[in-house]
This record gives sequence, structure tokens and C-alpha cells, in this order.
Amino acid sequence: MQRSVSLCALALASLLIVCALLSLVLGAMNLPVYDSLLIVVDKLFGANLSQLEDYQQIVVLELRLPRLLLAVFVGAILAQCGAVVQGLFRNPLADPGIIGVSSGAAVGAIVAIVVFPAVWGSWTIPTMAFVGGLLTTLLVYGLAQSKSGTSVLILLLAGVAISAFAGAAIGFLSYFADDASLRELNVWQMGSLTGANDANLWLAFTTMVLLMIAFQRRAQALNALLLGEPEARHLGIDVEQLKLQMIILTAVGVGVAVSCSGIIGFVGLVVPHLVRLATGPNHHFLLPLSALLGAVLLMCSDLLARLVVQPAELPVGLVTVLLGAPFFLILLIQQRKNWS
Amino acid sequence: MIRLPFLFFARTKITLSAFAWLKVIVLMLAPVALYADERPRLISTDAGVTELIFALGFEDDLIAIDVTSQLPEGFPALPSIGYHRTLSAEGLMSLNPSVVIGSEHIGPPSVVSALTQAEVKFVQLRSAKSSDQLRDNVLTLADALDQKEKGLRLLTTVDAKLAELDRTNLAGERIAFLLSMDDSKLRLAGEGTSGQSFIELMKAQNVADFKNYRNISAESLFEMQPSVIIVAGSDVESAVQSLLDANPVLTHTPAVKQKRIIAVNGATLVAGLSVSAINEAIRLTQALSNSPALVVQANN
Repeated sequence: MQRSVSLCALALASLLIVCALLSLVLGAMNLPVYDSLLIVVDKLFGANLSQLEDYQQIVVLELRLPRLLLAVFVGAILAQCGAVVQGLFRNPLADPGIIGVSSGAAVGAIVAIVVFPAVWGSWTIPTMAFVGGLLTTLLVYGLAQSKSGTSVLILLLAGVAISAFAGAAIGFLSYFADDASLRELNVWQMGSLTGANDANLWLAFTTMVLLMIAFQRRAQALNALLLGEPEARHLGIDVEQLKLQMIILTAVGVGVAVSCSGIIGFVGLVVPHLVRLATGPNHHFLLPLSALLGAVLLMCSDLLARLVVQPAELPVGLVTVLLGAPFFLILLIQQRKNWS
Repeated sequence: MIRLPFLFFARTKITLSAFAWLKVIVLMLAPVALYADERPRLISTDAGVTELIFALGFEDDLIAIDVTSQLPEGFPALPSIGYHRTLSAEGLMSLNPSVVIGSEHIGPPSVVSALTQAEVKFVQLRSAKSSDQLRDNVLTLADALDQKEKGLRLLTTVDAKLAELDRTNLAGERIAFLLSMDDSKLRLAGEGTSGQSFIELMKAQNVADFKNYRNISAESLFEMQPSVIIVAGSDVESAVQSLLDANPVLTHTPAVKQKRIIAVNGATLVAGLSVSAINEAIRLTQALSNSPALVVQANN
């Protein structure tokens, strides 16, 4: 068990490094391989090894590098949040969207796009998406409250209902939107890492680190919760408190991810699932390994998105779903064999 | 330019030291001169811009277009750079463009700043909602590419056509401009749309008083009592008939009663007004004023 975990961690870490190097080297522009890597070393250590011209440096340092970092941060956040939500609901089919974060964020985004475009400049859509996601989650959580605590079933159903409602709200707003706004919303909903800049990189990085620490400290409690709520309570865990904390942390994490990169599907659903298949459900290992795999998956998807239709590029959310959906189906079919 | 080195070579036969010096000068000048002599490499990120590039006769310098642009039949295919609000900076740079031309919506801003740093020239033209804006765009683009006389020439043609439109105007008509993508839905052009600009070209009045395109019911269209209905669709031949088949109630509007229902080629209006849209408007006004009681079929 311990051995398979360290093996997995090692494999994923090396995969992460390989993917990162590939992302730096490959792209629509053909740049010399060594110089593209050296320029990053130059930038970090103030050396002068690379022989790239100025405009080529821009490509590596200002286009490829920020995207690759954002992919790592957002992928890690989404995959961890997915792992937590699946643990919380004790349902492997749950994804962070189930508590209404994604649909709420989409409503926030379309309100920003249609109703008041460009109030706070380029921050309008991210801010509104974040606020929308958080408010929706709190609403869903509030609906699931009762005297006997938070009902996970109601939480789930309320999430589904609120998502449907959000879908209707989006439909209503898009009815009054002009063609340009519609197109913008459409693209936003498919996710993209193009908007990577210093500000959102720091935001995503801080969120990722804080979530990693917070989740890791609650890994033991999440493990206990897998036994069932009463059992966890008997083990001395404040289940209500745990649920509230987890939901808020997830909502903040997904909210930040969505506001940095739009809606990116399937990372939060598929990644924890895969890790669980490989190393089992122990959250001590599940959470960090999910973060690693999430980073790798999103980085690979972004690399594909940049390469497939050059000189244009695909929205990265489209690629994660294209990669994730068939994979998930295979998993389901395998599980079906186990049931029968 | 190619002859230049030979010219210097001929002179250098006089003295050897002069040859050496001239060789240095030629070597220094040649790349600069060749570069300056190179044709511009244009990327269009907007359907209206692409149309304008063709109207101005710069199409041979075009190296890539966006997804909304349409090339005339028979024109060799060009790489697509995607959608103009979500451009890929690296993708654009890999094509080594000298000028990127688009609308005011070109973006995202990070891409624009990366390309500006890489010394790619940007030309932004506002989407042509009026004939004045179209005239402005013609001059701006021709100016930016140092081809002012071509711009002025096109402007003369455009002005002649606009004058013709003034003569054959449809003042007093109430026009409903329908976008026919799905016959069961009536998508009516409101203010700020290309449909509205098209109606204004013909000096007529739009029946719609809302903004943007909106799906309306056949009943509300009936209530608006349009005297002319324009259907913009991809299939010009059958657009009118299939619209009437799907919405029989429209046969009671004044427009259809007097058989003043016409199809236009929607492609000419994808991104605001264009030279071909003006041609289309002339064709419509002439057809309507010459034979008011006729279902006019578009000749594409």
C-alpha cells in the first residue's frame, strides 16, 4: 500500500515535470528547444544563457509559462475539491459542480457580460463569477439545513434543483443578450487559460497552497466520514462543523478556479476517481495525489488545446471533457462488471 | 532590388578597395532593403475586415482569417486563427504577420499587448453600422497599408452607389428584417443590428423598436403590420417560401398581400455594412420600386 503510493507519487511528479517541459517547448511557433528552456533559467537566476530574440522570449515567458503555471494551480485546486466533495457525499459520481458552484458562477458571469459589461474592467467577469458561485453554494447549503443537521441527500437534490434554476436564468439572460455577448458567454463556459497574468497566478497559487494545508489537516476526519456520519460522530468528529468547512473551502477553491479560467469540467470528477482506483480511498494520499494528477491532466489538455487547431486554439474545457468523458465511461463499464 | 548587387559589382571593377567597401555596404543594405520591399502579411480577424480587404484589392497579401470570415469561391483556403475575442498570441505570431486588422472587439487584451511587444502593427476598425462608418473604414485601412489612392478609388465607387440608393429610396416603408436560421422562429432585427443598418441604407423605417435581434411570435409580427419583409438566409432561393410555409399567418400582413417580401443574401451582412451589402440594397430597392406587386427572387 505504502509502496504503491510512493510509486504513484513518483510517477506523477515526473510526469508533471515532463509535461511542464513539453509545454514550454511546444507551441504554434517553432522555437529552438534548448534556448526556450534556458530563457526560463535566465529569468529565474538572472543569467544570460539563452539566445532567443526578444519576441521569442515573449512567447516563452509571457505566453507559455504563465499558462502552464495557471494550469498546474487550477488543475490541482479542482481535483482536490473534487476529492473532498466525493468524500463528503460518499458518492464517487459527485463533482464540485454538484453544490452549485459552477452554475452559480456561470450566472454571475453572464450577468457581468450582459447586464454591466466592463464596470471593473477585465475583473468584472471573474469577480461576478466568484460571488455568484459562493452565493449559490451558501443557498444550497442553507436549504439543506434542518434541526437534525445538514442532510447530504437534500444538499445533493438542492444542488441539482438550483443548477437547473441557474440554467433557466442563463437562458433568460441570453435571450436578451446581443450576439457578441452570447458568443463571449459561450467561450467563457468552455474555459480557457489564456487570461493568465501575475494577479490571477498569485491568487490561484495562494488558494492552492491554503487549500492543500486545510484539506490535509482534515484528511483524518474525511477518512472517518467514509464510515458514515454516525460512526464519524462516535469517533469524536464534529461532523456538522466539518461539512460546513468543507463546503465553504470547496466553494472558495472552485470559485477562484472558475474566475481564473472559466468553467473547466471533468477534472474534479475524473481525477480523484482515478487516484482512488490506484491507491485506495485514504484521504492522506488521495488529496495530494489528486492535486498532482489534476495538474498533469489540465496541463496536457492545455497543451493539446494549443496544438490541435493552430494557429487558432481550442477552449481547454472542451479538451478536458473530450479526454475525460470517454475515460469516465470506461470506468463505469468496469464498475458495472464488478456489480454483476 | 535584385539587380542592385550586380550594379555595384560592375562599378567595383574600377578599384579593389572600392569593391571591398561596396561589398560591405551592399551586405549591410541588402537585408534592410529586401525587408522594406516585402509585401505586407495581413491577418484579418473579422468578417467585415476580410470583405473590405477584398473590396480594396489587398487579398493577395492576406495570410490568415478568422472563423467568421468568408472567402469567395475559388479563392485558395487560408489558415483560420479562431474567434476574434479569444485569439492565440502564439498562433498569430507563428504566422509572422506584419499587420493584424480587426474590429474594436479584438482580444483578449493580453494577446494584443504581447503582439504589440513583438512589433506587430494593429489596425482596429469599428464595425460598420452606417455608411459613414464604412467610408471611414475604407480610408483608415487604405491609409494604414500606405495605399491611399486605392482607398479613394473604392470610395468613389461606394459614393456613386450610395447616391444611387438615395434616388431609389424606400422612404415611408415599414420594413421587418427577419434572420432566417430556423423557419419556425421569427428572429427580428432591432436597433443596433446589421439588419437595422441595412434598412437605414434604403432610407426606410424598421418596424422593431427593441435592441438587438429577438425571437418574436408570428402574432406580434402581424401586429407590427410591416409593408415590406426582408428575409436574410443562407439559402436565398427558398427562404421566402419556407418562411411563409412555416408561418401562414404572415400571408395576411400588408407586405405579403402586396407580395413585397424579399430574400437577401445573409452573408453580405454578417459583420455590419459592406460594399456587397450596398449592392444588395440597390438590387432590392430597384426590384421593389420597379415592380411593387411581385415576389422578388434573389439572384444571389
